[in-house]
Amino acid sequence: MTATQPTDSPTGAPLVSVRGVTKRFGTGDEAVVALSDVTLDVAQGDFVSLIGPSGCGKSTLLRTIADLTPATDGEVLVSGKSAHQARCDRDYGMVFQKATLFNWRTVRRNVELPLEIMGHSRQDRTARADEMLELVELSDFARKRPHQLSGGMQQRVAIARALAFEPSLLLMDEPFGALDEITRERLNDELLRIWQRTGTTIVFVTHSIPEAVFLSNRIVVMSPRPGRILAEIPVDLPYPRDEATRELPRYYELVTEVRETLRAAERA
Amino acid sequence: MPNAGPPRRQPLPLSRIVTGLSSAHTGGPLIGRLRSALNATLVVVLLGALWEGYRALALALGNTWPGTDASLPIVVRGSGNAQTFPHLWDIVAAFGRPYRGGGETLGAFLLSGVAHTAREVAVGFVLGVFLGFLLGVLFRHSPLAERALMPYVVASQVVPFIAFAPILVVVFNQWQFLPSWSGVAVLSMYLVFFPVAINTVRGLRCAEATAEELMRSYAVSSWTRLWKLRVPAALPHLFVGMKIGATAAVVGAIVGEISAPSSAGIGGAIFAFGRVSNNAVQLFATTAVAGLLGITAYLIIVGLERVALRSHGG
Amino acid sequence: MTSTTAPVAPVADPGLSGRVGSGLRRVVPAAIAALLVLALWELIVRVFEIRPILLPAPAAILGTFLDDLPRLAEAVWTTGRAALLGFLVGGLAGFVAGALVAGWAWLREGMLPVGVALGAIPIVATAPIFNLWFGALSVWSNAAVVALVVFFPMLVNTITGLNAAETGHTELMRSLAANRRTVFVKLLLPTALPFVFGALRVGAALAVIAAVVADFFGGFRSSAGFFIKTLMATADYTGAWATVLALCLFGLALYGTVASLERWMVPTATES
Repeated sequence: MTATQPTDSPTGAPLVSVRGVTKRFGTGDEAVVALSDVTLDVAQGDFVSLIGPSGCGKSTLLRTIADLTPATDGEVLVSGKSAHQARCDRDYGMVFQKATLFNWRTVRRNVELPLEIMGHSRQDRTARADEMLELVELSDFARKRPHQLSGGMQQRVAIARALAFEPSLLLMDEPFGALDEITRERLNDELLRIWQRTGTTIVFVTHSIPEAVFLSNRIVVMSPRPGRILAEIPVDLPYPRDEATRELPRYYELVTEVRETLRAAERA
Repeated sequence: MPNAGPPRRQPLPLSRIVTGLSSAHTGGPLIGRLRSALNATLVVVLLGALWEGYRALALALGNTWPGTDASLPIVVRGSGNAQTFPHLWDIVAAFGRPYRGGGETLGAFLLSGVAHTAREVAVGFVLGVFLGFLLGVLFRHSPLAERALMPYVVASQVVPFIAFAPILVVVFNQWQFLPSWSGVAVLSMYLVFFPVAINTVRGLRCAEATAEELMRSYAVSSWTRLWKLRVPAALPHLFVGMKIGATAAVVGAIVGEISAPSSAGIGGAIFAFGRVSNNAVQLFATTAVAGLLGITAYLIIVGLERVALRSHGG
Repeated sequence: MTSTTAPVAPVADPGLSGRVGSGLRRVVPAAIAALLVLALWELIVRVFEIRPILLPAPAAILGTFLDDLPRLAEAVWTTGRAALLGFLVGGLAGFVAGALVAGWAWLREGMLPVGVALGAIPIVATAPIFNLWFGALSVWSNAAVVALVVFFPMLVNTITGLNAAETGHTELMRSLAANRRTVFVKLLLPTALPFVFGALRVGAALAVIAAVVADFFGGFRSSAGFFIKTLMATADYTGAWATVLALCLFGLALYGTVASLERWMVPTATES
């Protein structure tokens, strides 16, 4: 995998294509413009982070890609299809800020949930769930119930669940936002490893600058009122990234660059 | 983003007695209230239409399932006061007519019955709340007392203790210095105390841990802590218990009355009208009054709750 | 929970010894309290020579209970049959009605306050109406009262439970493009199950109560409620107490059955 990837991948059309998307909540004078004319491409194999202060519409943008919030104007294409069609075809897996696990199911049965919905056979479900739990290193906890797991472990189960049906796209909405810094860094390492092993395209919403720099090959910086894209910053840190990456001078430069872009937006 | 909903406090299902699961029913702003009142009215109208609809259908079908001789579950027949399934307006009209040969109207008769029953309900309710509250405070203060007694308090509710009604009534009749209705009031009290006790214990645990520590840092007496912190924090729960208790008090009074030898009050009237089948319309009307009595008792506590919790700040 | 609980390391599964220890600590005070009360009761009745009309001695009640066991079993079964029948019918009807109502917003919003209001009605008072409809000597008259009493808590709890799913869970199902049926079976039903069992437990207790009250209105001469009234009238006070004891055992058995069913079917029920 190369260190940076150009926006228009030479292999063909981008996996996610957002064209002039505007989202208004409410009508008339009370309308709030959450997204204003946003255009963004995500290529196959990209790890793109959306970052910005709260209210900048980064979650809304992710949710329009997921077809959980319909866009007021503009067009969202996933794998060349409308976002709605892509959702019905299960083209993406989603990880929310909360793990949203079903307490009445064991960890393994939680991972099996999407496979059940898609009508996979029992053997197939068990095999894939075990594979996914191995991927997130939770094989020993397959029979536990979600509430017996720590917050970080629960979020790993949610990732395993989102990847269980091998979607080409993984949408993550501040998945580690509620975790402590140490757990968050560990999960960042793990997510990166999973990304490299599976080749899944990831769109990742966060408000943590170090997290975005460490994970992404491209950072999309957004500003609020109305939500729009300020800048796209390519991250040219070498792979594989690990503990040492966080101490590279280039890492600090990029963190500073993102921070200053955000500051500039605030002053404007 | 966390969605800030309106604060949740609303009538709770009976299930609160044992489950402790709260209802997700939220009371919104005025428009929402108006809409839910409209919806509730629609549902009431729908239920009334179901009643009349069944009546019309049964009569049209000759009280049998179409094409068979098998009779419908409820047979609509009779005329005048002896109807088995009267029109709703016939039930209402019955209040204005004398309930036997002549003299007093049913409405006037039932009004004195309501007065009799309401006294039992009120006395039973107040005693029950008092006892339940005391027990709740005791349990909150002494884990040993809670462990020793709570299982029995719970078991006593799971068990049809109401079977004691005839026994209680006879026992209290032994004591001539007590009014004749005191046995009924005691039965009411018994049904009230449990939900109040359970919810008091639950509520007294509701004070925030930091507030408890603040009280500790002031080195206040447990009496002050109880009245300044725990009881105010417990108020919403206490009202949950009292709302269930208000309903239970009416049940207790009516059941007590039907088991007493002297059939007084609304329960007595139901018993008397139920014995003689040509008083069916009066029976329906009296049962409706019992229902209204239950709902009124409930609404009184809801009203008190509104007032109390408003000054309490929610 | 209480300040006396020693802090323990947050291990998911406490050892067997720990469980037995806390179990004993729960049972012993309750058992001692029961023995104390019974002993005191017996003592007071004997020392003050209290007449059985006021309070029979526990030993006497137990004696009558054991002597009259066959007759009591029959009486309890006559009442219990109506309770069971009504419990099943009312529970099922409440659940089905709740599931239907939960689908329509206006019906749901209208039904909840009406359900709460009807829950405030002393439904047991409708017993004579059912006697009028189904006949005083039909088991269905008593079962109908029980069914009605069980129906409303079940209705309200089913509606509440089917609407209790977290937003995150419903969004997850939406992101997976799950159809209505799947959402109902895999998300809404499991979410509602604790609420449904809450209503079943309340219903189990109310069912026996309602059946006894229905007995008071007449009907079966062999029923427990009728038995108690007759025994009181014939001054067999100890016998009346023994009948109440038998009814209590039946009520506990029914409640216990529902509670164990819940522990088996709702995996998360044991925590709370």
